[in-house]
Amino acid sequence: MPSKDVFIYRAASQREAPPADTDPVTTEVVRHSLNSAANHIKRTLVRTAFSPVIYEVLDFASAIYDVHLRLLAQAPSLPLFMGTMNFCVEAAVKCAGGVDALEPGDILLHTDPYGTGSHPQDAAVILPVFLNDEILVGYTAIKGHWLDIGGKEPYSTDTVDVFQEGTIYPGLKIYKRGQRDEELFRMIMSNTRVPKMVAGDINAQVAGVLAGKRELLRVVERYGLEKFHECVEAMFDHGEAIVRQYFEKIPDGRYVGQGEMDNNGVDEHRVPFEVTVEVNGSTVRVDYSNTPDAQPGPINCPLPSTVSASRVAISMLAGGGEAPCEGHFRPIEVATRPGSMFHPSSPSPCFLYGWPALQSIEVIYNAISKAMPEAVPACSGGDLAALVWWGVREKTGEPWADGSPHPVGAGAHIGGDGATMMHAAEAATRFSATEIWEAKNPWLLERVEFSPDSCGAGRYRSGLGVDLHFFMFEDAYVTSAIERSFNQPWGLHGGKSGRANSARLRFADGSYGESFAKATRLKVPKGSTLELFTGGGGGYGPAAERAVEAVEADLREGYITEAHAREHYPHALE
Amino acid sequence: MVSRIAVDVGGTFTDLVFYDDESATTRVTKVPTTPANPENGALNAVSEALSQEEVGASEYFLHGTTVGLNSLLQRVGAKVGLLCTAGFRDILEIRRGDRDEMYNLFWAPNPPLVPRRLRMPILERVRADGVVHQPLQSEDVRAAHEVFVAENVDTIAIAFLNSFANPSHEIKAMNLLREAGFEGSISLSHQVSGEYREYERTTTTIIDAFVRPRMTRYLGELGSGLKNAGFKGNLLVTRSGGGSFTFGEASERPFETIMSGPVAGAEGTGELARLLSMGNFVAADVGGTSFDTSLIVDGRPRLLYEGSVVGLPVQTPWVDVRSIGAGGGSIAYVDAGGLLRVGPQSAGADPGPAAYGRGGVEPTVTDSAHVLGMLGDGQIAHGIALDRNLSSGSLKAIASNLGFSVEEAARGVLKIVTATMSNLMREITIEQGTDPRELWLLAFGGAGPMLGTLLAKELGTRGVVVPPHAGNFSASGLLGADLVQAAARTRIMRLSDDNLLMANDILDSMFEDLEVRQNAGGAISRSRHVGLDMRYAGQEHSLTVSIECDASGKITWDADEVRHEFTQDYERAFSVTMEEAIEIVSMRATVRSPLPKREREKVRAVSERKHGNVRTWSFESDDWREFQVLDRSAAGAGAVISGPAIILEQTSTTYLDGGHSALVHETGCLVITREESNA
Repeated sequence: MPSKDVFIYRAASQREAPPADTDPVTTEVVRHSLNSAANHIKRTLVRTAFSPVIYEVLDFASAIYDVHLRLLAQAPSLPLFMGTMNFCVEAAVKCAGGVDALEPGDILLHTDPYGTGSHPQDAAVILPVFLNDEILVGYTAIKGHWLDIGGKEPYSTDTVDVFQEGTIYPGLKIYKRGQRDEELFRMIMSNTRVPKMVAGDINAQVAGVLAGKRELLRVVERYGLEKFHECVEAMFDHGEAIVRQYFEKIPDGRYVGQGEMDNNGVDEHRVPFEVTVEVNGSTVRVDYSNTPDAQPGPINCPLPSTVSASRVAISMLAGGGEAPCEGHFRPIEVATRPGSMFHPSSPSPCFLYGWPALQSIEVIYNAISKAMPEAVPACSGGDLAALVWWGVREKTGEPWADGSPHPVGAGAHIGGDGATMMHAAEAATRFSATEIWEAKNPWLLERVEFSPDSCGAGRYRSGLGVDLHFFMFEDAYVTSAIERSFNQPWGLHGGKSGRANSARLRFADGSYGESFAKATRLKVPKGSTLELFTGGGGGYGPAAERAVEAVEADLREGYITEAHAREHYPHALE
Repeated sequence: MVSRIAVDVGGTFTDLVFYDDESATTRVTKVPTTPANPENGALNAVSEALSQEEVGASEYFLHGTTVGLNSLLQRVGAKVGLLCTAGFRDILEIRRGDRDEMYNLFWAPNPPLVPRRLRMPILERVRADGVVHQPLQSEDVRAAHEVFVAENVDTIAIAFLNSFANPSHEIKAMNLLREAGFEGSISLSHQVSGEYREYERTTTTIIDAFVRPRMTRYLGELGSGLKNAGFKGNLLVTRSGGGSFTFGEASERPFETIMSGPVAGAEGTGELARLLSMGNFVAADVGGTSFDTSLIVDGRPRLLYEGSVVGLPVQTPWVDVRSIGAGGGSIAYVDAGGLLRVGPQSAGADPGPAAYGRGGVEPTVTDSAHVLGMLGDGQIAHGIALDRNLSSGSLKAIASNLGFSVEEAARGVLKIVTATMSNLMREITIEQGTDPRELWLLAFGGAGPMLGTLLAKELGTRGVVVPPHAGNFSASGLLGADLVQAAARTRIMRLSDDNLLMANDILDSMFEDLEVRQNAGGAISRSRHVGLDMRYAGQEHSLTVSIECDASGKITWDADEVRHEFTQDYERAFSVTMEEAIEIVSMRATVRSPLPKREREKVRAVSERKHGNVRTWSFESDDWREFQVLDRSAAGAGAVISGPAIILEQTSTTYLDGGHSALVHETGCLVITREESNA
């Protein structure tokens, strides 16, 4: 319930009214050029990166901001990072001594979770862009996931403060006037378990922001600063209009969505929370003020990621399928309660910030479904089902590390069945090819296959969950960050729920360990197998309404078994 | 005896270009495409354009086809059965987990080309290093065969994990299928692609099995039709990776022809660039619905080693041609947020732009250009006369929506469409470390010469070149296609002198295989080329670097020289280099045999038709001006045409703005430069 200590966050508002006669043609041209520039940052990064988390998994965001920290363009990459980048730039610049302390050729590194919104591994590299080495015109920025940045483990689900989570580099100039700061670089190399990969990824991030700088300057020089500003304002107005039109169609009202975290990673009890979506004309307020206090375990979500989750959920729904800019965010207000798990403060642990953020996306859709069930899909597997691995190679003694999210079933919707893919919060993310994994890591995949019957039944069924079995040739350690292991993904409009996420170990003698979800530094001994079961999604509409031919096809192709059909679709078997 | 016939089958028209060696002249014909049986259109073009003697005297028939591509687009192909490693039955559906449209919450992939019941898991397993982890269970293959027989499967694809490291299980499974009596074709993943990444390799293998019967039948019909027409020479088809190979080889490796159509334009640009020796080029091929571009450095388009079509990865050499939905038929509209947008929806050939008067009502790029006078009096190819009332009428709605006049709206449409195209050209150019200002822009396709100078200005190129027969340029691009065979094999190893020796052993066996395939006949010279995919140890993506080799295809550089070349290429692409060790990922072997040289036709001025002036918008002076209208054939080699002018020819129209001039090159190309840049 909104109370006096509620904090409201709004997108950067417009600085000056655009002249009434801003040319819609040049605006479209500038918009296009900026998106093209952001794509160029992404391509440069992917082609030069060292860690699979960046080049295969695409666990990063690349974006361009103007001097007022408004999003000009972002390349298709990690959506959950998308809405946080202005916070990253703002915090990094502030730490570095403010705008006046910036000089041409400087590049900043920022890993403070309360500035980036992420865990410290998500390193923001930021380049202030100067026109003619004089006028600051904006920033190019990449937030990318490093495989290790110190911390008590390469990946943790049980930290109790941020200092256990990784090294914090607060807005430090890793390049000063074009020269790399070798002392700082040595410091960074000394605080990671995989220095070669991190060195390679820093290099790739620097190459990326430099490429973005050249392209941004080209656009500014082509149109001149004044015309550029006009077009940018008009571009923001355009994005804003698109989102506002969407919400005008949704009836005004307050819609409450319910969510729950399995636990906070430290204590056993579940952590329920609710998010309210309040539609008022064309403005939408996403209200997290009625969520629990900051938790003693790492499921706290710093404000930037709370804002980002709201932006992802809303712009995917209302953004017309296009890459958003700052304008798309203007109709969105985010209400939080400082001190709560969606607006914690340092040093509350937040290593698993992404998990509550991701849950809140599903919860926002759950709330909107109460006004318009046809507007959103049913719940997906609802998780990244991430595993992070490491160890030391037997022959060479070299440390290795790898990590990946895994696909889940997508929720069914009024338009049809769901498929199987990464969670929407990681929509551009890929998981590694088995053959690439096996060429690098001391393991063999026994299985990467659909699990029949794992889908939520309904008039439309969800996508299937996936079974992945990792057999170890050498001892390894794993941290598993899996959420929604108790709560099955909900169906919508009478649809049934699908399989929840889980994992277990199968030892060399054929015996099984306990099923688990969140686990830190679990040893997976040589000869044993980790079995990961990712969730299905929720179905849409009553199962009794599913077309007989669709049930028959699912049986024929082996997506469902006869037992499942008998339970959910008896009408099709008569 | 090197007369040759080139036929390019497009969506609407089938283009023929005939090069007559006797007279060193070329002749052009256009006939309607016959979509149900495209070979008929091709044969019609031949019988319409050529005498029996000319057909009989021709040494080469060169062909660009979209049969494979259309088969995938329409999903009409063979019923394919797949043998896959047990536990990996759903590789096709799980893919890599990403979405093609990341901001679309409801996105779902197309249904897989092979349904799940025809994807048969086989107990077998090879490790990444080639060691057999689990022997092949023959029973599983025989059981799968029974399912395939009961389901009337046409062709079978076999794609086992890590088969690039050890293909024995794929070969054994094929033998078992043959023993069991399967007579259809069988595609083996390690033969289709020697590279890793199972989703990509499996998909490519299935595409091969899917398009094969249709492609084989098509090429067979076309070949025998040509034989009946008296043709006795070599039958060649363009590869997605550039160059051409025989119909026989194409029937064996049909997945290599998927991009056959669009590649011809890039290959033609490459050949022209080598001929003109003016430096590097960017190709701007503007058709009715799509815009295709490629960058030509040192006379060749860049090769990629994976392509994608209708959302499916194809793991085969792929000329880097980028395409977007922007062309003469692209439709303009005002979006929900009040911005003017152009494409990707297109009015296509039917109904076509509003000005065609065939029932189209929505405003297109062609309508906008017509309103601005850029198409002269509106007599365009194929006897179509554009109607000014219809073109300007179509723009009224968006004009009033934006508060613009019809002409302002038309200019907006052209600005946006040229900016969209320029951005794509910029991306493909700067990605390769090339500055667009050092390039010439080659404008072709029906609408390319109309937009050439606008594109050049937006991109800042040195100038524009409009080739002869610009509207049929893709077909003429086929005339110079070399015969090419290529193969790749993944073997990850550190760059060292010892490992280069091992690479040479592997390359040797690859070249041996290729020579067997390169059997097109004729005493043509062959050259061998080697590329290495390399990266810094620890990276995933690699750069392909051309490596110096001797006539037998043996690498002659030592490790230091290879390292130096890699470092230079890397710096050019990414502006940084690293201290890390370098790895070889894959070896690439190519055998290339150029076709005999052909003489270039000399351009002579022919009789001049009289045209009046036409009032046309000049983007240069931002105002209306009187443009002279003339026939391209009226200007002989060495002549200079000064803008403003509209230059007409059979299949396209060149817009030459004021402040520009066009020199008629001896090759017949119009070389267009801005006047101040001549000074």
